[in-house]
Amino acid sequence: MRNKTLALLTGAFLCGASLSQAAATVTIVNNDGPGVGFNDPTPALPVGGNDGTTLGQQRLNAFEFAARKWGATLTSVPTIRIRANWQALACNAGSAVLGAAGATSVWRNFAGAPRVNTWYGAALANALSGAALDPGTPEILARFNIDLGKPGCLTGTFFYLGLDNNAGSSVDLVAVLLHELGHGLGFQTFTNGSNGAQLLGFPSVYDHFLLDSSLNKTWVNMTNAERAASAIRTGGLAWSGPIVNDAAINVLTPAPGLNVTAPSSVAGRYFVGTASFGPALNTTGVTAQVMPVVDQADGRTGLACTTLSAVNRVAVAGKIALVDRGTCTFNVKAQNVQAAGAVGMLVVDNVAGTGVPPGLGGIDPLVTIPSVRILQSDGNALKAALVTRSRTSSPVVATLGIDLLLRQGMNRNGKMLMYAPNPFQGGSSVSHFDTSASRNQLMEPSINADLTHEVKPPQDLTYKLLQELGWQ
Amino acid sequence: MLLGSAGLRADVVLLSENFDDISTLTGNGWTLSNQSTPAVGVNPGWFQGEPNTFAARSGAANSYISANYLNASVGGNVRNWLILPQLTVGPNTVLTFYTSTDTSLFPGDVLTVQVAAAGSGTYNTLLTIGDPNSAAYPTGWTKYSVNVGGAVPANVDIALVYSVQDTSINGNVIGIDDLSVVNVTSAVPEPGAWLTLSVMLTGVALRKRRQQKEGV
Repeated sequence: MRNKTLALLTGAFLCGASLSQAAATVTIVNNDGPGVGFNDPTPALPVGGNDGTTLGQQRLNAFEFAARKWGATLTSVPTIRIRANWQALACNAGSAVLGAAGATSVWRNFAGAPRVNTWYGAALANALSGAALDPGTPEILARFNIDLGKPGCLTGTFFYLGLDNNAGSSVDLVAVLLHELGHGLGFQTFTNGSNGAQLLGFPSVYDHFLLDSSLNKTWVNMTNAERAASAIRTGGLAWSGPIVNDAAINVLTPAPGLNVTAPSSVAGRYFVGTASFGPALNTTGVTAQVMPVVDQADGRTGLACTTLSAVNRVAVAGKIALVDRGTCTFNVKAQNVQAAGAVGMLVVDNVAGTGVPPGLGGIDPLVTIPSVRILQSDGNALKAALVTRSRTSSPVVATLGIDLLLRQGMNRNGKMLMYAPNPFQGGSSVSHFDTSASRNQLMEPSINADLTHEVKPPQDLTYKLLQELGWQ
Repeated sequence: MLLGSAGLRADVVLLSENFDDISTLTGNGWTLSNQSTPAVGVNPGWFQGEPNTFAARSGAANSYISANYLNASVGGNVRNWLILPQLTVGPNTVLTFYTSTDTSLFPGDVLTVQVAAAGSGTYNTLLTIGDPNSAAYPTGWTKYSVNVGGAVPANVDIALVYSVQDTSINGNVIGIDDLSVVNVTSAVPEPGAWLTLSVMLTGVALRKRRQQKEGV
C-alpha cells in the first residue's frame, strides 16, 4: 500500500486495545465486521501457545504477539495504531497475497523531520516528532487474506496460528504479521515504481537509500524514467545505507564466488551459479589462471562439447577453463576440460542476465573439478582481458570458491539487493529485500518456511533498515 | 642506452624506449598498425607486457611491448607493425633491442626489422628473428642489433613487424624491450652485439650489408 487513500477505508467495529507495553506501544484497531476476521466465532483448539478458543481470538492473539515484538524493538512516544481487517485478497490455487499493509498517511517537513522535503510514513513521523501528527487516525492499515487455504486460494495451505514458529507446511501468521507491520512502519517507498513518479513531487525517505549500481545514483537523484528503469533492474537495485549493509555481513551467508585478483581492469568479485555435479565449492577455493577454450570461428567462443584440440589442451592444463554455454550439457563440457587437465570450469552464459547467475544442472559422478556459471556480461569482461594471453599463460588470475567477502543477497560491492523483478510487480517491487537473500529475510516478498520471529540481527535485517530510516 | 664499448666513443642516442607505458608511443611519433589478414583478431594490436607471460627485461614487470597470435582472426596471418618515429640515420646508426617469447611449444613467431626511405612505404628487411615453420624464437630476453643506416645520412622509417602464418596452429606471443637507436662513432658495433645468427639467411644479409658498407 503506497498512498493515503487507504485512510478512506472505514470499519464498523473499531475497538482500540492496548496490546504492547514496551519501548513503543502498538495497538490494533479492529476493522472487521461482526463474525468476520478478528471476530470470527468459529471454535478453535489451542495451537502452538495460542490459547484462543475461536478463530477470531487466535488471530487477535497472533496479532498481539507480533505487535509486542515490534513494540519491544522500536521506540516511540506516540502509540502506533494499526487498523486491521481480514478480507479477500488476490489469490489462485497456487499462490496468494497473504497480506498487505502500509502507512495510512505520509508527512514531510514536520517538527523533528531529519530530512527536508521528504515523505515519512505516519508512524515514523510521529516517533520522530514525539507526538501524533494526526491523533484521530491510525498510522498503519493492514489487511489479511481471509480465504487462504480455501479451494482456489492456495488450496489446502492455511495460516498457522501458533506463536511458536512451528508452522510446518502452513503459512506462519505471526511471520506474515511481522512482515506487514514492517511495511507499515516504513519498509516501503511512496514513489510509484512503475512510472518513477514521486508522490506529489517529493521523495520518500526510503528513496534516499535506493541505489542503482548501473547508474551509480540513488533514487532521489534520478529522473522518473531512470527510477522506472531502476525498479526492474534485477540485481542492480541495492540499499546504500551502512546500517543495513554493515549488519548484513553478519546475517547473510557467504556466497559462492569468483574472486579475480588480476589484472586490475577486471579485478573484483563475481557471483557464480553453482553446479549440481562435481565437488562443492569450499572456502579454500581453487586458485589458478583463467584460460579460455576457443573452438569457434569467431575466435572468442569455446563450447567444449568435444575432446579439446591440442592448442586448447595446452591452454587449459592446470588452469580454470573458461567455456561458453550451448550445444551440449554442462557436465559434458566439464568432462572435456577436465580431461585436458583443467582444475575448474567457468561457463559463460549465452543470454544476458543480472545478479546471481543460475546454477548448472546435471548429474555426473565422473566430474571431479568445480564448475560454475557466470553472467554473460562478466564472461565478456574476462574475455576482453584475456586477449593479451599467450598460448600457455593468462593475465587473469582468480580464486573459485566460497567467498567470505561475498554474501547471498548483497551485490559484489557489499550492498543489500532490493527486489526488482522485470516486469514490475505492483505492491512487491522495490519495497522488499531481494529473494536471493540467504539466510532468508522477513522482508523478502515471499514468506519462507525457515523464518524466525526475530526482526534484528543475527537473524534479520528489518529493524536495521528501519533504523536507517530514522527509527530508534 | 649506449652500446657496450671498450673504446672511447661519443655515441649519440637518437631514440631510447623502455616501453614503460605504451600508451605514450603514438604521441611520441610511433605508429602502431595491425595489418593482419583476413581480419584483425580479438586482440586489436600491440599491448603492454603481461607479467604472467614473462617479466620485462628491466623496470616494472609489465614495462615491455607485446603482440600475440590473437592479433589476427582464427587461421589468419598476423602482420602487426611497430614503426619508430622517423629518424635521420647515418652509416653507423644501430638499432638495438631485446625480444623474447614464453615457450618453445609453438612454432611460427617471426619478427623482422625493416627500413624504408622516409614515407616511401617500400621496406627492405634487414633482420629476421624466428621462423614461420619452427619454434626458433628465443625463449628468454635476447639482444639484437642491426645497422639501419645507409651510405649517406637519410630520413628513414624503421619498423619492427610481428608476423605469424596461420594462427590456428602457429604463433604465440613476443615481447620487445629496451630499444634504442644510436649513432655509433666507431665503424661497426661491437662484435658481441651481433648475438644471434641462428637464422642463417639473416646472417647472410647482415654480412652482405656490412661488406657493402666497407666498400663505400
